[in-house]
Amino acid sequence: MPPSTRKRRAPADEDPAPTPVQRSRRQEELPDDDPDEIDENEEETQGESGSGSGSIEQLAKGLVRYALACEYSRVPIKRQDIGQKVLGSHTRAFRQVFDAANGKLMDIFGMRMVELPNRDKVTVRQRRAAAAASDAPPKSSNMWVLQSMLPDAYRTPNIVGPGREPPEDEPDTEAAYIGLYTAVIAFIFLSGGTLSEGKLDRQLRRMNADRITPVDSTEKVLARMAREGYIVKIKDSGSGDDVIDYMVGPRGKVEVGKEGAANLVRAVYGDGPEDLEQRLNRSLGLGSEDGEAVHDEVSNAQPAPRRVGRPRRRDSDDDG
Amino acid sequence: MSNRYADSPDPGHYNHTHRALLQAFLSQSVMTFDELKPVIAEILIAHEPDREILVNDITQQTVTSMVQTINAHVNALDYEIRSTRNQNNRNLTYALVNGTSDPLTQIATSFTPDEIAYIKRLLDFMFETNNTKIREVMAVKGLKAVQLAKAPPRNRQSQAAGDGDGDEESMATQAGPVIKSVLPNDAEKVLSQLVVQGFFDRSHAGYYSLAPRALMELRTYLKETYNEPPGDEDEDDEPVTRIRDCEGCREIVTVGLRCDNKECGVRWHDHCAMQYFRNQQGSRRRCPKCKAEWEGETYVGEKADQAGGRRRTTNGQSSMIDEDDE
Repeated sequence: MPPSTRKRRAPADEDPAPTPVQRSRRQEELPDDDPDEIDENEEETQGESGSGSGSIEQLAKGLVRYALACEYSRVPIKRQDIGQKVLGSHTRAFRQVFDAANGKLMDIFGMRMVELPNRDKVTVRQRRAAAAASDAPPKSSNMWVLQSMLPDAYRTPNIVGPGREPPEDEPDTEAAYIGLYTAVIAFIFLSGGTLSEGKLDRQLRRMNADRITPVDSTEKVLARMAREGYIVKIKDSGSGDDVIDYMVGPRGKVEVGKEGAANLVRAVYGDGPEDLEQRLNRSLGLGSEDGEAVHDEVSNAQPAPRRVGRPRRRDSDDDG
Repeated sequence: MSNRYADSPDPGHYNHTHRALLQAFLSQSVMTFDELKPVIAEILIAHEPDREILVNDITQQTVTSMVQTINAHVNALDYEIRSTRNQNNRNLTYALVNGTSDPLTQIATSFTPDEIAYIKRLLDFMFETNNTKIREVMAVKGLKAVQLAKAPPRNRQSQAAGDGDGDEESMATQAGPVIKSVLPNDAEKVLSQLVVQGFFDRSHAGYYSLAPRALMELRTYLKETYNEPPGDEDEDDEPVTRIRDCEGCREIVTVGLRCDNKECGVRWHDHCAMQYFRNQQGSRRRCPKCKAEWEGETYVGEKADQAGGRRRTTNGQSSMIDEDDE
């Protein structure tokens, strides 16, 4: 099944500057902050900035549309694809175009492209798995997702909910999917960042979701979560038997994060045990193997009961 | 960033309320006026927590003004918030529409190529097979819709138009070389997704037809695809117009009324026709174009598929009167 996202207009393959130009691939792998690159940008784009389809303005527009298209289908915005689908022969203008596009996104939509964290490579096993997967370049992930930058007050379920409510006789699969991945991510975070397949299965069984869910079969839903970067499935055959673990994926970290997991727990427990916040801090805080300060606002954030939705949250630490 | 990013109560000024509404459209994609009211109320409260704003304070004017302001900004990106009235219940419906050329692929970004081809078969069925001079049904019944999941033996569903002009060839190319069938189960999922996303409506009688969102997004596409322009060199027969606009509101009619004269191109939405003919006091009701007597009983839409779909009238009595011209 393809992802059943609720909104799609700009297709991923539409591009105002079409011809995919295969200019040196290596260029695209340069880290963002490579000073040489910036210099070259200026040289090369100087003469073009005002001219039609090659102008920064036009390219930025293309990138904005491409970013929105990616978001519709929950595909990360990848640097390489930007090069091929948006920039064409203007790959060197990446920085300028990217910044201009982010400016437009912010100004018009109140959103920004936020960089996805790299996958964790903590243990030998994970390193091996990451090497096998090998889609993450060593330094920057060169992948982004769109995130709302609006103040929390504007991010209520009514305003940016999970999507259109389906007609009576149709299941609200979109909402169900969001609920499921949020729950799975919460389980993983609460188990210290890694959850074995068996334990996840046990949790899902408790929700009567171990075989079938309103969205699809559990197997397919988990596969979709992995494909869309909410979770990462890690298979280790080192010891002879296959050991399967789940971790939180890059999109899961950015969109749900520990704060989202904490909010789910708060929503479930309501006025639960008095030391709920402490326990949360401990479970989520100590469990942090990644040390990335992406979502450590749990500790002092006010427990604003944000409901489980597809959170387009603002990062408190603005690390994009 | 600050909470007061370009902040102003002035409705003409672009601020967070517009951004939030735009985000609401990104996640909801299509909203009726009634669905918009609570959303906008909540946005305005978020903007000015001290002001008391009730859902019913949100008027058509509020919406129009916000939409205009947003459009002034998103037009440069080829997006637009459009509105149209639902043909069935007249609900004003808004959608964020992508203004570029190939809307079908835009609808379909989350479908596989085979599923896109299936959606094209559905559209072809609605607007060609099930849309003849005699019966303009422009809808497809549930069972048939699932049967269409099976791809035709050859890659020819786009040629159903028969004339195979350049347009259709390019469509066939777009659809890719080999089109595989969609499993019946998956076809049902596709249909249900299309309904959930507001592209298709499913009627009580089980017909799928285009919902307001699809009509807004596909307006140009439908006409380009299914209407054959006049004066095509090779053709001996007349141009075929399968998609027509309402005589009143000038929006596409897929559910409504048509002139009893099958040769006449006049189409109406029920409401638009009512308005028009109500204003024709005194005189007899006649089609504004061909002047045939207007009975308002020849339908467009699934009604045309039921009970013969023709006017249930009398055997010529009405046309007698017609000629009498009392």
